[in-house]
Amino acid sequence: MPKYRSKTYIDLIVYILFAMVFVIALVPIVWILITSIKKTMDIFAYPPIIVPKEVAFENYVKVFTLTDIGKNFLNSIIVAILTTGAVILLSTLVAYGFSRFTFKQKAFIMMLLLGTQMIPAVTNIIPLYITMLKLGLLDTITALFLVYTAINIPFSVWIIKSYIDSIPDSMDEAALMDGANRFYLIFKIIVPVALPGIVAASLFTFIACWNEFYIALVLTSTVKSKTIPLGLFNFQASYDIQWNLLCAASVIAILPVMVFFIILQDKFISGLTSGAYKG
Amino acid sequence: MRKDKAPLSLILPGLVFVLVFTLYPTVYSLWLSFTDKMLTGGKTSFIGFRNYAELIERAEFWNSLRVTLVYVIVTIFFQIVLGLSLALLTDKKRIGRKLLRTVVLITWVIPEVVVSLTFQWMFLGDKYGLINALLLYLGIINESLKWLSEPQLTLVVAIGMTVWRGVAFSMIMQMAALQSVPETLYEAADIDGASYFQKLFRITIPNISSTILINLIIITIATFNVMSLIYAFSGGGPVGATEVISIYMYKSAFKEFRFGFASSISIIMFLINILFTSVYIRVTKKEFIT
Repeated sequence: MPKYRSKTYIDLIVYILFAMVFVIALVPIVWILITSIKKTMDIFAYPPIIVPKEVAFENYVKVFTLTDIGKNFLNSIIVAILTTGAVILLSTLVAYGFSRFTFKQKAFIMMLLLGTQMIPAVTNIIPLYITMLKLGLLDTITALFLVYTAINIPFSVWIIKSYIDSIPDSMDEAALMDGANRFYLIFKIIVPVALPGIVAASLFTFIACWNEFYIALVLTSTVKSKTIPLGLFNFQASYDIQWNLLCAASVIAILPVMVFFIILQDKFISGLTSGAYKG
Repeated sequence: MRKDKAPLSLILPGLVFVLVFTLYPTVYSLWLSFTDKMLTGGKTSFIGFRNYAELIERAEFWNSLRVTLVYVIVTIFFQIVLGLSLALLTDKKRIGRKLLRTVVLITWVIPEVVVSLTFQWMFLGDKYGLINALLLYLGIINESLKWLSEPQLTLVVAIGMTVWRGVAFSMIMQMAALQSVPETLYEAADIDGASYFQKLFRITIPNISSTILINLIIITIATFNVMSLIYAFSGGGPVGATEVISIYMYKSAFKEFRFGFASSISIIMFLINILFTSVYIRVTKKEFIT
């Protein structure tokens, strides 16, 4: 049975490739996990210690007691949650407006809104710095919140609108007939049905805020407002890098996005393939 | 579809928010690019195209363009090819494919700064770096490679790191496209006794070519604008080897404090983005506004 043989042969090659991809994707992540629990004296060893004999979980405690990562973490949480909340609220209203009404220049306004996604952060960074300076908001969480909210709205509108579009107009009619006002209609009737889209948009916004580095690099300058990517960056730029602590801090930074991602993976993929994401 | 005042109150708050913090800064940036504004203050005056004229005479500018070009071309090549390969690899129902997909996607959600630091740590230029230790152990090299201080090598690692992180995005896009290729085409080819590669090049790739093209443009835009990943990794060094255009702009603005001059770089970048985007819109014309 030559056909059968060639099939197992192909399976074998496929699984070897699977294994290679696993290794390449996971080695960097596993390596920072291992480094994060190494004793300082084990970090620089040749050959490198793959399985440390003595485990130093206290590195994680040290990260919080000896560095600013704890404060950075808190800043990131606050910015990400506030931004996600504002983005979802504003985007839902905009998406509903675009989905349910026809008005003059609608196509142009939508184009304008979505088009802003294509402006690179680099182009806006100096004006944003000057604006925040004038408003007295440099080095505040508020500045990050304002900018992050603005840049995350268009993509969220896009995702949420596609879900609202699929809800029949008759549902609105019925609710309005029963005397519901517009906001009651949106939040009590539309939102529950469009929830998958809203969850996907929240996930993207949260991760985008959590990971954002460049704008925070320019707009923040002290621990008061620095988010976790900046905390890690400063850590690395400091004179004497302690790689085990830096890796522990990195693991802490990865954790929230990883948890969200693993729980909501399918939402994430459907958001990505919706076609409006910019990479 | 109703016609009343409601849409204005729904759309305006979000729209104003977006325009104030995205479109207005762009216009502001354009204006700044015609001035000699400094971060440090002082009198600002309109100087016409002088910043642009200076820019095209700067060796650093041409270096950053060259670095960006190499970086973008090599990165997108590997990202597309590997992304498609991974999509093909996980297309058929097999044990472990969902796990593989999850693992690859994880590379894409972890913060860019973490990726930069991890690659720095793995590619340390002495034998304590994981990669050097491995290569020494396998006998592939005799002495440690200076991954982070040898200009060419640093660019290679920077590209490898970008591909490592970015390939998941290509994979997901191609995966969705593969599922849309009608199964009957393959059945017909099987009857004719076509080989795997014949099917790949005659059926699969022609059928997903528009997705590949869209993917190509999106990745080109994203890698062209790269900043965080490379800046946290190498700061543009050594000796400008990884100084992509956005890092050159950042340094002009926040290290040399030349806001006007740096704005001319950001406007050039903006124009190149517009160029890519118009290609994107042309390709996706139907999908862009629905």
